Amino acid sequence: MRPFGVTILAILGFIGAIGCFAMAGIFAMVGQYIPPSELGGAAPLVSLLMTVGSVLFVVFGLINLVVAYGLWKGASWAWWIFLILLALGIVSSLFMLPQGGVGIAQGIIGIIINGIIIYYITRPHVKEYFGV
Amino acid sequence: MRWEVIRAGWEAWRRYPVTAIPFILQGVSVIAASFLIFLGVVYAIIPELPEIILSGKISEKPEEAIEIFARIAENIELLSLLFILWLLLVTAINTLFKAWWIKLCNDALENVANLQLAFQHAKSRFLPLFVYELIFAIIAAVAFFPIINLAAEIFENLDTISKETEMIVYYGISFLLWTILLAILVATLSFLFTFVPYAIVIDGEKTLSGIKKGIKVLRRNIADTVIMWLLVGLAGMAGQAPVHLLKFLGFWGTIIGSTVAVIIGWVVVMPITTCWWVELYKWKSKTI
Repeated sequence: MRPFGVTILAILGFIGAIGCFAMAGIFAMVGQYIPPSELGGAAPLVSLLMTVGSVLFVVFGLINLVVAYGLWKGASWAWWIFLILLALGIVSSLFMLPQGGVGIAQGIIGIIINGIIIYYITRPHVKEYFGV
Repeated sequence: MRWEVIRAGWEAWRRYPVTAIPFILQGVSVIAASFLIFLGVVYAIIPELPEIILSGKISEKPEEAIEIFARIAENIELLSLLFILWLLLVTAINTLFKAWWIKLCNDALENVANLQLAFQHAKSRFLPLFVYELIFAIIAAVAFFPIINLAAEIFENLDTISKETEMIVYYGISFLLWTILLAILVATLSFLFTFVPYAIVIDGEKTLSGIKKGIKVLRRNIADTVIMWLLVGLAGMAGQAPVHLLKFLGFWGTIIGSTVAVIIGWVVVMPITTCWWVELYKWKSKTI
């Protein structure tokens, strides 16, 4: 039986994927609707940034979707990918700390949230569900 | 089983820290070869460059910088030739050391690592691995040509471009787009050919059969390969910690942090991750 926490994480993953696709749509639409005359010389740059942003959100959305599906199904590869992504989150949060100011708060929050999730997914009953 | 791959790699490195030697030598050799070719370029085209940089005059006289760029544009053929020479040299160095460290890590995993024996084996696998590395480098270099072409165009029209904001934006965007495409191409090729060097060095395959076997192993183990790439990325990112932690000390902090990160990369991250790849390859190639 799927642990309740894993169900929550998978649903959050699906919501995150929908959010990413929505952001991709917004970026694509903003790029389409701003008249180039209002941007002057910066028009090509803004258009490029919007396109790149849109593509990136689609990629992040797909990654979220695949991992969320794997978590829902209890696939061992999804557990591994999720664990590594969380660890990457902790490392990048650590890198924020020396920036000072808001970076410290962001870094600490990132470390705490990712740390709690790592602690949860490495509990024996969760690992057993994923077969790892 | 994935835990076993990670543990095996870690323990092999702990038992045989000597696995770091080929990585250190490769890094030093590539830096030395690149530096020598760079010095050759400077001596042939802009002999006054070291003096300008050391005196800090370049920021005072932008017209001198433009004149230097123009001189570089005039010698674009020579630069292209030197670029090809550099590419061949670096590919040859990388090939020899890559074959050496793959064999050494393989032997370390089997508890029989010996620098000299591994080097003998590396020499015998040089040619097929070099042909593979050359194929890889040529594909990447072909994708690199539009960027060189663009750079040449920028140098040729530097006077006009520097005066018009729209032209700067246009060339900036073109440059950025080509660089992104090149990075995507190299990343895709690296993923597709992940296991090829291991097939050539460990299983003694020839270039084409190595490519075929490497792709076959990848096709049957995509999830594990993605996980391993992520894990290697995580290890690489963790190895970069000194740069971020010492950045707040300013310029010298960044320099010291970068140097420490490079050394950690050579001594710790690269030997361990190579042991992971070798162990994963050996485990997965048994299934095909």
